[in-house]
Amino acid sequence: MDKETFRYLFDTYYNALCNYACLTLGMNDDAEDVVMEVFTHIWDKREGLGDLDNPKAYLFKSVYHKAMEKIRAKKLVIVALEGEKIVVPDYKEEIADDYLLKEKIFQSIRQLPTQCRVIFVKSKIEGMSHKEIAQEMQIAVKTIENQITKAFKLIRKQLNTI
Amino acid sequence: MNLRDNINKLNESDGRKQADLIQMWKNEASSNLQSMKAEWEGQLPLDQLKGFQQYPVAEAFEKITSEPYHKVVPMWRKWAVAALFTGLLAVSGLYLYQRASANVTIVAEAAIHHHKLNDGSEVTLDKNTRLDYDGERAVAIAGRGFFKVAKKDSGASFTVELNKGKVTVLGTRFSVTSLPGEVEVAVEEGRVKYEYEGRSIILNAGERMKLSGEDIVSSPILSPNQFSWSAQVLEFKNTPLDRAIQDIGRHFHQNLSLATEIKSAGKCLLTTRITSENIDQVLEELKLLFQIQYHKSGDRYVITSMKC
Repeated sequence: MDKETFRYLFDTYYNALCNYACLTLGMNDDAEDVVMEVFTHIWDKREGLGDLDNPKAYLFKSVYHKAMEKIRAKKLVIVALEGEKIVVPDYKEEIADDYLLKEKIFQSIRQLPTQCRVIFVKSKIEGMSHKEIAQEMQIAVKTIENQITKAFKLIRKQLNTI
Repeated sequence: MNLRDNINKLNESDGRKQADLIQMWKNEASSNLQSMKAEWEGQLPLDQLKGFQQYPVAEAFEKITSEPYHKVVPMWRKWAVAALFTGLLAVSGLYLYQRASANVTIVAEAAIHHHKLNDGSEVTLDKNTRLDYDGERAVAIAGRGFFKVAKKDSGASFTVELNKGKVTVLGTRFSVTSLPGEVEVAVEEGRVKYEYEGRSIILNAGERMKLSGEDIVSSPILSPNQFSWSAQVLEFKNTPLDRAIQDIGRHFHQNLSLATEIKSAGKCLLTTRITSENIDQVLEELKLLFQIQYHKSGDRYVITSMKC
């Protein structure tokens, strides 16, 4: 594997994997470490390594197993309330796809112009009403509607297809 | 040909019929546009983006690809042997240490959970809360928790690591909320110290603090229902409804508010005792009492009208 391919994998998957480790596997502070370890391993072995057939599955599964190793090594006992069963989320392709999509949307939201982004996040992610945003930001409701329409347009442009 | 071209073309010609046609096009276009927009918005999992964050990608890339030992192979081999031994020592040490005091993670998923810790302290965890416990006097929490910390003769302090900042106590009763965008510490009895990024504040009984952005803001606790969620009983005695709404929201950890056009809520008085397990039951009760109407969007409830 050459450096370009590695860089591409890194840019495409790194942030999505960190969020996957943190939100799905509940690793919090260790999420980054786990993902770093996986990529360090690939980097160290890159000369003997061809291109990955299915990088998505490889990366998500590796992060999943590494995280589980960590959870076991720390001797974490996960006590769930319902029936006292142990909660261990499985790796599923749909979950990986879900995180990659979220990552794409997240990145396109980050690229919005400042005011547009702030309004969009307050409305669509934090679930505030237009009226509440208008009051907080001291702007007209009409402006908010316009900015949200603009945000959707820009995001759609970024995502191209869906 | 797109919509705009069509409209332009119609605009160019004359007559009442044409004018009606233009109007029709416009109406149709806006309704088409709106349904297209709704469909498109529905496809984006925006409500699930809460908690999603940006990690330092560039730094991580540098760290991985520019470390010197990746390039110097022979040296690396020598170091590897040494590292293997130190690693083995460290790992076995860690293993023995953790056998002595096992880390425990408690996750309260669907219901409020009471738990007694090894040191005699008690903790109540709200739904969707995760607690990591070191087995002695330190915990980390994500979600909402109420603590009754047992005092130790040795004077050993008890620490609660939050999403942002840390709480240190000796023996006291207090609650914490530790979520992205929401950090709160409220003290029922005793004193606690909150520290965050080199700053610290002492909170006495009846005081609470919140992080507003990166600022530490403390205030007295006004509501008798500040800790009601942990006892699962909410009580009102001639409480103005706007205050009661705040309490109900806090109790169920839901975003509940009054629409800004409702001005009279302060005049409605509520006297009741609520032991319901979810907010919907309470809102149904308020529907009977004050004919409230409300709507829910995402995880926010907004009361839009009421009478009393």
